[in-house]
Amino acid sequence: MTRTNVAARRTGTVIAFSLMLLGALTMVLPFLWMVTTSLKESRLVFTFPPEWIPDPIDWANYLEVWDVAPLAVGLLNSVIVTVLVVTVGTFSSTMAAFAFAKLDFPHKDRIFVALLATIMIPMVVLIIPQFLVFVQLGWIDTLLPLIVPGLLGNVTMIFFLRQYMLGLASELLEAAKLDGAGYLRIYWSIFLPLCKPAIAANVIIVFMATWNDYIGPLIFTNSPENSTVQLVIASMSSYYKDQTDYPMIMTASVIAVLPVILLFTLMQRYFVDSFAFSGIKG
Amino acid sequence: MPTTTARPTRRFNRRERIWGLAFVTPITLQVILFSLIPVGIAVYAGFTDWNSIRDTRDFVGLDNFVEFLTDKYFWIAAGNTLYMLIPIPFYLLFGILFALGSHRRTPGSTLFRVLFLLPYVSSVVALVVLWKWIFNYQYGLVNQALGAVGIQGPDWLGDPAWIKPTIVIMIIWKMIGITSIYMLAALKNIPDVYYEAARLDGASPVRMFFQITLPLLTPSIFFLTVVGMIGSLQTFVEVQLFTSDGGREYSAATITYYVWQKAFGSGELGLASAAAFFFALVVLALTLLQFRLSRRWVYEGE
Amino acid sequence: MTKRSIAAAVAIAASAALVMSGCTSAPADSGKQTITFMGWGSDEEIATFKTMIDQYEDAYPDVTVDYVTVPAADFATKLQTMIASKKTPDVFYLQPEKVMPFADAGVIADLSAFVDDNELFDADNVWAKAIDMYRYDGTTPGEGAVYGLPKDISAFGLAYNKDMFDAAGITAPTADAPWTWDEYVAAAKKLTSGEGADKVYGSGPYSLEAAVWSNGADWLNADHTEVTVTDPAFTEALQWTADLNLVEGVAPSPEELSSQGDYDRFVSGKLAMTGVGTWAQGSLWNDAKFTWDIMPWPVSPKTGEEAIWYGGIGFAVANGSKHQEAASNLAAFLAFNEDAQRTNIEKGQAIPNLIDMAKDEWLTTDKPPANKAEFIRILEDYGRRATQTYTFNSDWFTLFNSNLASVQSGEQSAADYAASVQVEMQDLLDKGIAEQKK
Repeated sequence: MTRTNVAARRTGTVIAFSLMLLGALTMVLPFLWMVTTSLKESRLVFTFPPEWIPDPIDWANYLEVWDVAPLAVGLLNSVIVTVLVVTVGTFSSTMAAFAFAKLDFPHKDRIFVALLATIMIPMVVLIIPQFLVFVQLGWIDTLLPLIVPGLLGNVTMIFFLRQYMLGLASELLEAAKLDGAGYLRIYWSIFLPLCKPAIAANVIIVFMATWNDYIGPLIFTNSPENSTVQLVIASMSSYYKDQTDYPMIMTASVIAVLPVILLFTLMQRYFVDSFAFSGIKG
Repeated sequence: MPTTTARPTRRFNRRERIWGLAFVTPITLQVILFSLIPVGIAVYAGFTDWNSIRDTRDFVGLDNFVEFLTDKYFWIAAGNTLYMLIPIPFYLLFGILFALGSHRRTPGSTLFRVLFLLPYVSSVVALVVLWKWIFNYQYGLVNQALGAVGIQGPDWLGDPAWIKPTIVIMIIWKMIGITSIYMLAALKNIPDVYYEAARLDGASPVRMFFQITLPLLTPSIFFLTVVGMIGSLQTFVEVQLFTSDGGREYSAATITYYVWQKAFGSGELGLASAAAFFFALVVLALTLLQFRLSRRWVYEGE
Repeated sequence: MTKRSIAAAVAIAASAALVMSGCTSAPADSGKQTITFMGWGSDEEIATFKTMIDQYEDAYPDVTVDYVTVPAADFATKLQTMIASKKTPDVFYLQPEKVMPFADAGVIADLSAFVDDNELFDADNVWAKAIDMYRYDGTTPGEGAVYGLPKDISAFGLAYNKDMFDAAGITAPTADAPWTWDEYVAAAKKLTSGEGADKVYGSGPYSLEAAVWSNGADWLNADHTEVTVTDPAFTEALQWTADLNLVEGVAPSPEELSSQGDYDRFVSGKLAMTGVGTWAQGSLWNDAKFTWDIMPWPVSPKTGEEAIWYGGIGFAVANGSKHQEAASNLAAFLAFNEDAQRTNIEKGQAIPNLIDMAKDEWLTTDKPPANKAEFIRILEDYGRRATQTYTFNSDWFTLFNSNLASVQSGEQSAADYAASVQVEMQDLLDKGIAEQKK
């Protein structure tokens, strides 16, 4: 490499870095403002010019928010729904993916295509009739509509995991069959452990989608006792239309996004790598 | 040996079939109960005058379809819904830019990655309430920053001309991160040999981008466009949270919001189902159109 | 732990949680009834109701009340959803404008017989206007069978910051000599000061009802069949309220109000006069760190007549509720029981439904406002029921309000706006009338 090339490379890197820095700042600034606002007293936010470091820093909101809104119940409900859907749903999805990838049964391809087709159904067509179905079942204003469908699996996850499993050697399956292992055992002890990275990536996605879901709780639940945390924040925002307490709302928001951000930070490697697994050609 | 393989094969096949079907039963059940049957109900309901208070359910033919197709608010919502497609080219552009930037292995790229994805992993609810505060007319960050350089910022949330741009800005900001990650993966899949060969031929970086990078990215761009389009057309949560009524002059309401309002606001379940069904067909048609057009510009290569 | 036992543990925990989540409502034991009661309110109001519910449960020991609160803006939608899902609450807040559609659809129970028999109800001692809001005979609202019991009757008064008045040397008007519009503006000008984000306004957003009715106009004609917003008296009043900001500069603009509402501005001393309802008394006791009081609404120079709206919310009982008697008892208790009503006074929630209590006990309490009598004057003399509560649905009214901001921000004149919405409003009104006749 000539000297001009090295210099060109370096300026390129500098430009790239500055660009990334600018981008990262744009992404993170609003969140910093969210945290800053949550540490202020209610009346003091309507000031001019804006204070980035509150003076005084007031942690009171983080104690009061639990009394002001049913945040604790909301968090609990969100945890129940998300944990159930993620754990049981993962098993349902991986089982189905395994079957589609490695087993042979009648109408396999037809069923798979049909499943894929349902991804195309716009949500707007489903919300009203799903509501009516749940009314008939008597599940409205319980957490069941949010949990039960998810327990049975997730089509997107099945799609990606099937793709991944197709890449795993079928000889494993054959060898295990010759050993006389049952299919459940083969799935559980052999293929499931092999898919850990792919599963991890999809688990993050399903966790995020379930924790962040707003439309489901909005339509299927009514009382505060059955709200998830997203609904609690939304109702704080609409409740406070006349008496706006932004710091309190921001406090609740911080508490609500923290779990997802934490999980994501710990598992971000899997999440990013998953895009390599998904097969770019789509 | 040959005689013993005959029976075991048949037994394996049968067991395999049973287990295979068993494994896919949960998801099949879910799809039938919570997707296919509801779609059927929606289509049926669209032809009735189902009303949640009156609990009547008489067949009314095409009345519902006529009603919403002649409702000016439906068409205003349709226009607003198309407006929600605007973010797509923007976040694709920025996503590619940032992907190119992080391709160069700059220091701290893991941290950058996490920061870039913060908006995407946060719930829409949290983002909207934050945005409402940041875009507050008098006390929000944006207008105070504009005021510092002498510009009077508009009433972002109240003015019919500005509410859509405010939502669009939020969506672009949210999607840049995930798009850049996706593009980065796509970039990494482009074999270096192409670039080597081009460099040997004396091609400039710009030329390399347009002749090599961009064409090879088109499958990813296509995928994101299709998925993005289906998602954008169904924008609802942002509208419902930013405005409580679709905005002044219905300036923010999208079709999904219109359907929700008719169903859960005025209880006109039949009308809402008809509108939803119609809209679903439109989305399907647009998606198929996208696939058709893709042959023109998406690189098919091996 | 082996993978198997972890899986087993997860499965057990999962099933337990699943069972728990499905059982969110306590099953009713024989003898013990549980009824649901749904409403909204500020923190103070909710706390008040919790106290009153405790009092009810003491009086009726075999009934438990499941009290559900929903933000006011979401209430109508939530209620609709619950009715649609056949989980109508046994007792719920009933808005006067919902009486006709709910009664026609058979959603709410006819309480006339219950009211006649009930020992708590003394027809002479309850504000007639309060109960009439929930009467409907199938054609005309305000007459006929009783479909709801009054939670409260609220008057919308004009509050002012007495400290600011004193500092500016202004004396508030008295009942026998209310201000004219010009006098109001003059006072507001003296109270307005400052610039930009720190500006202090003399006036809040002026009640359109007070302006329009005082000017001799109304949204609809006398039998509520015709939209009359293009009446010059109406548009003149509407323009006057908008001009308080656009021309006189004494009231905040719509954008400023969306940044910080008038209640917030009032309690932080950035607004001298604004409308408050009787329901806000409790909140004001907490939030206002200055002396405040109520003054009579100014009158239009055209007619010299006072006018403002009163409103209220009632308690409806779900028709076909499994616990109709217990539910009706709860509604009656919350509406008429003396202890329950007394709690209303103590918490600054409302004017008591019982006339003697209102005139004796309430008037003599020493919490602000000093001029409580003005609220009673509104109820007895010059208050009117809001026009949109007389029609089968208020879609025409919602339409009118949907772009009112264009007049208030000066984009178009009141006359132009009225002309542009009149036809569509009439259309919606006609549709509502047709629905009613079904």
